[in-house]
Amino acid sequence: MDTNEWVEAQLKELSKMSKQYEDRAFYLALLDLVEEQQKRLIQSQGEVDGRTWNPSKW
Amino acid sequence: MKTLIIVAHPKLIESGTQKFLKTSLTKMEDVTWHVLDVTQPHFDVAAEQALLQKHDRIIFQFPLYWYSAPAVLKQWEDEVLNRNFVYGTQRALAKKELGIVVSTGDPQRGFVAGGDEQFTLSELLRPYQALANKAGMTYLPPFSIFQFAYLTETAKQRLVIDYQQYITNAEFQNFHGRELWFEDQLKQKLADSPDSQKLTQILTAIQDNREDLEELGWTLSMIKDDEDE
Repeated sequence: MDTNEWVEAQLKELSKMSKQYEDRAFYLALLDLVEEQQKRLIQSQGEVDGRTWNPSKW
Repeated sequence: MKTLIIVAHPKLIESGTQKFLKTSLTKMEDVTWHVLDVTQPHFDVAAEQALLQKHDRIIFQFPLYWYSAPAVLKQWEDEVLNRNFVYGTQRALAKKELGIVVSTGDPQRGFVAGGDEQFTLSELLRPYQALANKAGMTYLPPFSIFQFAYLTETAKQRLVIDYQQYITNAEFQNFHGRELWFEDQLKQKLADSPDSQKLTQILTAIQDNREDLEELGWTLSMIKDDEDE
């Protein structure tokens, strides 16, 4: 399990098990944020790879 | 950043939406919840103006009544926002922000050209945008809540955090600003949580992700600059 998978698993649990409503809401939204970070990391890395692989500059 | 929420609701006690929003802010700092009293004949202009001056982000919060705010907000505007204060010699609101939190019982899909309501909320709220312009304020994108009573439990939970950010996050409009806000909130929770070790690890992972994204962003902008040459 990599770090982000571990983080997501922890946040899922916190978003269900925290005592305060506001805390459950916070961890749910934080999980959304971590998922969005993952998506953006993959997209940005892909864009870097794609732009670096530029035959017109060969 | 200090935020003033001016709540205009003639039946505030009966409003589940307003109660929900108020509860969402219980732990938020630098927020003033200011209810406009519908029973008083006139407002104390000096006191209201002093309150405005003490804050950086001003929020008008109300349910949509006939495509506008309840009358008490207009009365407050007419009495408190006099010429000198707003755009005469004082320009007391210049450089502040104006945000609108508006709720409606009608569905979101109606607020579009050709829809049941014909107009978007941004169009209907235009007088506030004009006011912000005249006052030299920055107008924030309106925060709208459609059919609160029909929201699912998870939608309500997401609403809590979105609303907290609209009220307290100076940079809520960009992802980087939202990342930093979550980090700050998590740091505050760390202090008095039995899970502090776990939360520290989560915080570190989120910070690492943010820093990686920043680095990729710089790399991309360098590659793009290079492509332009």
